[in-house]
Amino acid sequence: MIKDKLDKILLKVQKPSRYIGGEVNSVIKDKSKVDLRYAFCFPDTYDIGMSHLGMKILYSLKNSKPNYWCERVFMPLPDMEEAMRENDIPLYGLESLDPIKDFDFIGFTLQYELCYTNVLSMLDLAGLPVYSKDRKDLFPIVMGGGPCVCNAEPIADFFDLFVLGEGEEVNLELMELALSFKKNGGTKQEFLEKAAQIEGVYVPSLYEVSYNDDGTVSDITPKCGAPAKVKKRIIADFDSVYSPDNFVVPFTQIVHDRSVVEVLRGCIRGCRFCQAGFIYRPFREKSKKTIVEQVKNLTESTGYDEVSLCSLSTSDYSDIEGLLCDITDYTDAKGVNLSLPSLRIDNFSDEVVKKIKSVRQSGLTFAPEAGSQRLRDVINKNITEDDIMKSCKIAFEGGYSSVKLYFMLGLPTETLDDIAAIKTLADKIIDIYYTVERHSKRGISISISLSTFIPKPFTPFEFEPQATKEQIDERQKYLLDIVRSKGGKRIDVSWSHYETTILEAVFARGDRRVSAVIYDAWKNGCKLDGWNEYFKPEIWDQAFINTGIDKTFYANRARSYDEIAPWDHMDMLFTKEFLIEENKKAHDEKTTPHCREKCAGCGINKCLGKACFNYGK
Amino acid sequence: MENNTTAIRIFFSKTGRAKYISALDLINCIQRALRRTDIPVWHTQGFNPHTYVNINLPLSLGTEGVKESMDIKLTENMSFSDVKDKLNAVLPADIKVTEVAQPVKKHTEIEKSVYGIVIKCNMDKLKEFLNLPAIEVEKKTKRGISTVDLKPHITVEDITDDRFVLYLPSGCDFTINPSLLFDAYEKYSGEEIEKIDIVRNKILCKDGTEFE
Repeated sequence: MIKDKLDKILLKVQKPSRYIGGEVNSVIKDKSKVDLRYAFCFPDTYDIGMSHLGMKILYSLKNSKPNYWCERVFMPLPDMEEAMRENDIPLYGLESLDPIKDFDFIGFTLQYELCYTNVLSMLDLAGLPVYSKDRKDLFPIVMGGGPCVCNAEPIADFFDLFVLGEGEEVNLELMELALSFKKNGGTKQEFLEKAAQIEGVYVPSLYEVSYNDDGTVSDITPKCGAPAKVKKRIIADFDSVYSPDNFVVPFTQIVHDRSVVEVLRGCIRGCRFCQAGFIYRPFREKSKKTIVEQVKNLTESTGYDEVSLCSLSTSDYSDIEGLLCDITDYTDAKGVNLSLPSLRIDNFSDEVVKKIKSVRQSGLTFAPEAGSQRLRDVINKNITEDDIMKSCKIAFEGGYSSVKLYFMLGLPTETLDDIAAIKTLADKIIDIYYTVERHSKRGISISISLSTFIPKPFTPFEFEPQATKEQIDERQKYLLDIVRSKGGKRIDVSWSHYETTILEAVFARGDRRVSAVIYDAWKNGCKLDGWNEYFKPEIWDQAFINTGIDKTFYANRARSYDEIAPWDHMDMLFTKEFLIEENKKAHDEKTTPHCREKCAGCGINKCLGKACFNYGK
Repeated sequence: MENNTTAIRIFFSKTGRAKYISALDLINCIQRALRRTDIPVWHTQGFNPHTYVNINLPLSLGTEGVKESMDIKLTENMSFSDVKDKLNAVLPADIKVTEVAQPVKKHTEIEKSVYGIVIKCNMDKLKEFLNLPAIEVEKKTKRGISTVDLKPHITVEDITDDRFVLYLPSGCDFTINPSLLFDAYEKYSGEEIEKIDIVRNKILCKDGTEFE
């Protein structure tokens, strides 16, 4: 039994409680009484995966069916993985401690590209072949979901199927189909062909991809009746979408150790670099009543003393102040903290500051993304310097004295003038600080965090090259020099590593041939690539050499508008023409108003059968 | 501030999967469990008020306990059986409240833990080890690493071919963690213990009576 073997190793690994289950609200069922068993895998550690809202929703949803049992599975850290391999412990579900290779479904949520080697590690640790073609039996069905599925080509060979878009309905439809196969029999091929008929299901083995001599895709051909385009699933009636009324409460501290309530999906902003802003369209909100009720339910069932609202750009909720009033009426009375992680600069009102001030005070974080107004217009980050200054002033008056600013380097059309503008902006924020009477004696500290822009599919910048390492190095150095030359003491600059960034860029826009690199790197020991301490750039470099794959072809190459993209058979319900128009406007330095102000004509409203907003007035 | 509060002692078992919950995580777990109930608990009155929970003698990681205890304070009356039932309804599966009572002794009176050991290893070798004139081990203390002779501090009773009762000092002044002894045995014998279950069955006070 796995439990006995675990008892032998758990005291030798760090934080053993994350490997043994048994938490409050974890779901235990009698396995002789369930029809389907689902291993919900988060391809990163427990501490990260347990913080993820999507997993909580789908876990509870599946378990709400008495005849389905869904369990949680995470990526063990190297100390645990080693101990498991030494003691012949296959990857197991945290609820039953049974090996997941005996389950009916193994589902991975694919939240970011750097988790791909973890998927292979977990399949291997489960005792399964990593390539779909080598898993001959129908069960377990290995499936993937999450934002990376909008271009899953680099990992297509490892999966039996993917679900595109929101999972609440399509997961259950797939499980129903699997149940009928379990009862009536059928092969893996028969199942996959049937599954491909479900809207939102992508079966990669039913598509033939061919290439031109220059390496670009020439054709993507569906087989066996699979649809030419896989349509993303969305939940039209978002207010009544399934939402869990309890969460598994971990014993050990995790990254986001609190309850989380989703308030809206989609984003009205249309920032041109932001994949989430496009792929989660259309914009939909939950009603105040629903949100407040969920805050109450979760607080009572988990015992957490903190609740956070989750969405893209939370302050775009149509009645954010009313919502915060209603929530704080409850949370204040209960002594529960409310946190709002995703606020935009421009609608950062006095009222909102007061509300989050009643929450424990920490630093403020803003993401202007670009230093100059010109470049902010290019990326359609529709905020002005005035907005930033106004918000900072409000925050400083509210007692804040540290500000974190996020910027991207390597944005399309970026010049050194745009880089210099980052420092100018920071200087102006410092000046504002000293105009505020209540400033503290310690003074202000500003930290500038630089990431490297990664062009992503289904954004207006999907055609753009990523800046090269030389370009990024030059721009970083330029900024550091001007920060250090004067007034640098109050400004701290940090940046991301180019090595992981370019990997992410290759996977984001890669085609099926890229899977060879992922396999080779994993075989040679790469995993947990998102963790600095485990990332092995030299093995990745070697993997590109071994497989003859040129990373610059995927990362640093500009695409023409008429090139067939590896993800062109995915239909995210808005048009490619819209992306092309937005790309042209970016190069013309023209902005697009947000969706609530004026419809930008992306085409998403077709799936709603009406306009996204009431433009009547 | 503490005027109208009543201290109560909650006895509980922590077994099975729960033996991997660290002492610190256990406090967090209990505080959250209390928040899932309407038990009128007293909160510390500092800048960041939190639910007052005192674990009288933390259990080391990997050890089960059948009569562990913690103290909380009530701000209003609630019957002991209500507290017990309400907590049991919300605790994780492997933590169970067995009894709620008025505290009789202070936790500073605690002196010893009584463990039940079930072990799979070379028993003759283990007996030989336990009969050594001295068992010197390195022990981490607040002041660094020092060498301690465990021998005068341990008492072994009722030894059979797979189990025995072990008394070890526990408390504010001096504590010996059972793993210290078994690690020393593995070092001495060169053998890896195949399987071991350690359960704390009792906590004894300086006057020899049970902690209650």
